[in-house]
Amino acid sequence: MSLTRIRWMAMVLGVLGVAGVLVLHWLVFFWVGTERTMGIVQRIFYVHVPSAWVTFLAFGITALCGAAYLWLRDERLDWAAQSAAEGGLVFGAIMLTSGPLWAAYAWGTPWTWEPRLTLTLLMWFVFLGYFLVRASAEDRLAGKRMAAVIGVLGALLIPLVHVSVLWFPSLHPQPVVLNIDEGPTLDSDMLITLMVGLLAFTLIFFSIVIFRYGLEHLRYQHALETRDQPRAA
Amino acid sequence: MTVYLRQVAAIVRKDLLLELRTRERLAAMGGLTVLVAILFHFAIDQGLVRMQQLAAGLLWMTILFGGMLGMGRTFEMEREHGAIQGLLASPIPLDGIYLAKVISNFVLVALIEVIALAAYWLFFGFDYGGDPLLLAGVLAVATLGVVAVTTLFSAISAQTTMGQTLLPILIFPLLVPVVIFGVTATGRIFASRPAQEVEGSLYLLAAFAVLSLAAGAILFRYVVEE
Amino acid sequence: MRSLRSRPETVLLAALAALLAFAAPVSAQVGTEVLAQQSLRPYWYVFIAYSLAWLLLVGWMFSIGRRMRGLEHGGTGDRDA
Repeated sequence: MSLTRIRWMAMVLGVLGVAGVLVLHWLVFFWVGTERTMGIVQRIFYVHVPSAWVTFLAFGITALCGAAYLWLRDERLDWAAQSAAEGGLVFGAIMLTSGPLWAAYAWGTPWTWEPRLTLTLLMWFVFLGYFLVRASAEDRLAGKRMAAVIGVLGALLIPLVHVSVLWFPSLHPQPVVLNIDEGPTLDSDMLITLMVGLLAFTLIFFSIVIFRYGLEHLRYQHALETRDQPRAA
Repeated sequence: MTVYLRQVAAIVRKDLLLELRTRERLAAMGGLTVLVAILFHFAIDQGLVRMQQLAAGLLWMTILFGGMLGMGRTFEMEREHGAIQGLLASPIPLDGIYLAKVISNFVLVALIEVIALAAYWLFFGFDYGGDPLLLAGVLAVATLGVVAVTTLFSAISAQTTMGQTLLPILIFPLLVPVVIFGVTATGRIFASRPAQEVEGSLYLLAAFAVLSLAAGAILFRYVVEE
Repeated sequence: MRSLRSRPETVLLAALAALLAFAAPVSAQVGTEVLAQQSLRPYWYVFIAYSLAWLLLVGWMFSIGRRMRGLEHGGTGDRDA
C-alpha cells in the first residue's frame, strides 16, 4: 500500500469517526435519558465503555500482529503492532481516567482494588514495558522481536482477567450488554447511544492507528533513501 | 526425548555447579532475604500491628525481590564471558536451554524461600500453622510461575541498555496474579484454615505456572535468536 | 489537498471547533438543570472525563503529526517511542 493510499484511508475513517463522535455528543447531552440511580455522572459510561473496548481491541491487534511478525517476519506487521499498542496506551489512559471519575461519584471512591480494575491497570503497564524495551534494545531487530514477545504475553493475561472477574463478586458493574441469560439490560436509548459511541471510537481508533502506521512507512522509506545516498553533514 | 532430558540436565548441572563454586548469586539473594527481614522489623510498628498478620505478605515480598536480584543475572553472566554464544550454537534446542535455566533458577529461589521461612521464624517467631505439605505445594507452584516469567524477561532485559533496571517494570505487572493468589493461599495456611479455602488459589496459581511456562518455552527462541 | 492530507491533526482541529460550537448550548442546558439538581459536582466530573478523553486523543494526533513532519523535513527518523 502506498503512503498516499494509507493517508487517504485514514482520512476517510477519520471523517466518519469525527461525524460519529459529533452524533455521540448530541445523543449524550441532549437525547439520552438520565439514569435513575446514578444520575448525570452515568453519562461518563459512553466514553468509558467504548474506550475500554478499543483498549482491548488494540491489545488484541498488538498481540496478533506481534505473533504474526514473529512467524512471518514482515516489517509491516511490526508497524501495525506498534501503532495499535500506542493506540492502546492512549485509549487505555482514557479508560483509566474516565473510570475513576465516574466511580468517585457513583461509588464514593475513585479506585477500588477490584480484579478488573487491577488487571486492566496492569495490562497498561505491560504495554508501557513494550515501548521501554523497544526504546532501550541494544539491537533494533531484537527490540522488535522482544516487544512482540511482550505483546503476546500481555494478551495471554486477558483470559486471567476474565477468570478473576468471574471468581470474585465485586463492585464493578456487571456486563449489561453481552448478558446472554436475560438479553441486554440497558434501556434502548442508552443502548443506542452506547452503540454509536462504540462505533465512533472504533473508527477514530483505526483512523489514528493508520496514520501512525503511515509514520512507520515514512520512516522506512526515509531509512532506505538515507542508506542509498549518505547525507552530507 | 531422553537425549533432550539429558541435555537439559547437563545445563542444570553446569549452572548449579557454577553456583556452588562461586556462590555469587546465592550469597546476594540469601543476604538480601535476611536483611529485608531486619528492615521489616524496623519498618513496622509492632505496637500497632502484629507481624503474624503480615506474615504471608512479607514472605512473598521477600521472595519476589530476592528472587529478582538473582534471576536478573541468569543471562548477564553468560553474556559477560561470551558463553551464551556457545550455548546457543550447541545442538540443544532453545526451549531446552530455557527449561534448564528455569530449573536452576527454581532451585535457587526454593533455597531462599527456606532461608526466608527460617529467618522469619527466628526473628519474629512466625507460626506457619496448617499443613506443611500444603504450604510446600503452594510455594512450589507459585514459585514455578514466578521463575518461568522472570527467566524469560531476564533474557530480554539482558539485551537492553537499561539491563536489570528494566526487569521489575517488566515482570511485576505480570506477577501480580501470583502475589494475589500466593499471599491468599499462604496466609490461609498460616492461619490454619481448612484446605478447601486454599484450593481455588492453588488452581489459579497452577494455571498461571503452566501458562507462563508454556509461553516462555515457545517465546524464548525469539528473544535469544541471532 | 495534499498539504491537508499530510496534516492529520487538521481533521481533529475541525472536530474541536465543531465541539466548541456544541458546548455553548450544552452549558446553557446545564445552567437550567443545576437549579433542579442543586449540585454541580457530577456535571464537572462528566466535563472533566470528556475533555480529558479529547485532550489525550488530540495530543496523540499532534505527536504523530510532529514526528511525521520531522521526517519529511529531513529528520533522522531514529527516534523510536
